Amino acid sequence: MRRIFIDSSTFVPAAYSERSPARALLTAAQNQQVTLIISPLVLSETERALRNKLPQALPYFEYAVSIIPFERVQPTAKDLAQAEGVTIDPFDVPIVAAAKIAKVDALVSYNIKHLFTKQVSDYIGAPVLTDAQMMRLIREEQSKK
Amino acid sequence: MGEYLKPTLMQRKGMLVVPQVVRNELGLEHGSPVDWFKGNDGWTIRPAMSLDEALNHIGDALREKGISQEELMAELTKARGEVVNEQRKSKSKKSKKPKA
Repeated sequence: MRRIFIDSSTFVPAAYSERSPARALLTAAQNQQVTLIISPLVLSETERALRNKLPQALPYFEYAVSIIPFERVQPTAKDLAQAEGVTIDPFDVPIVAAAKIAKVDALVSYNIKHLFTKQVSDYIGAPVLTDAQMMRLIREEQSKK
Repeated sequence: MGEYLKPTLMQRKGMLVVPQVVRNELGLEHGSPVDWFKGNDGWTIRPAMSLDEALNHIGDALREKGISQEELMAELTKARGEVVNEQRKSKSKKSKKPKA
């Protein structure tokens, strides 16, 4: 099964549109067609953003997270130190470090400006893709079966 | 007006029999997940929400409040900065603690 680390930005289009590839990706994880991996940072920042903007949506987010069988990884201080300098934005280091230790097949994010670089994909040993690119790959693979 | 059924007795290990009329009305059968929700009138049970329903609730609420995807993405970026800074501060505080 494909192992995919998802950045918190994936939750945004998934919430806004039932037809978004991000929603399809979360559904594929719920149906155990792919393994989605997150880190505590992904959850903390999404919860904080919702709490600031729309606290009443928080229980629904927590519920959605509880019914998706996410694998969770937590990078150590050593993992974070090793990933220093790989990203353009230092705040993205924990995401890249987590994707690296999770030994993923892809990192899915909307952070095109900062994460879609050769340095990041070389470091994690996998491509950085948008949700749409990821779902296209999954569907192509499924159609070949 | 509400509707009352005769009280249900709790059995061992907290098990309760959901009255048949309620099971039929909610479409609950063996293995069906249910949600427990605490509202202003106390606890309520209902058939568990699907992933789509939960995400649609968030999306609808965001649209209703006029919060755009871009705005929420920007809030996520801000939240990442705050959380990472807090974690760094707490780690550096721990490492500065004098040894007993």
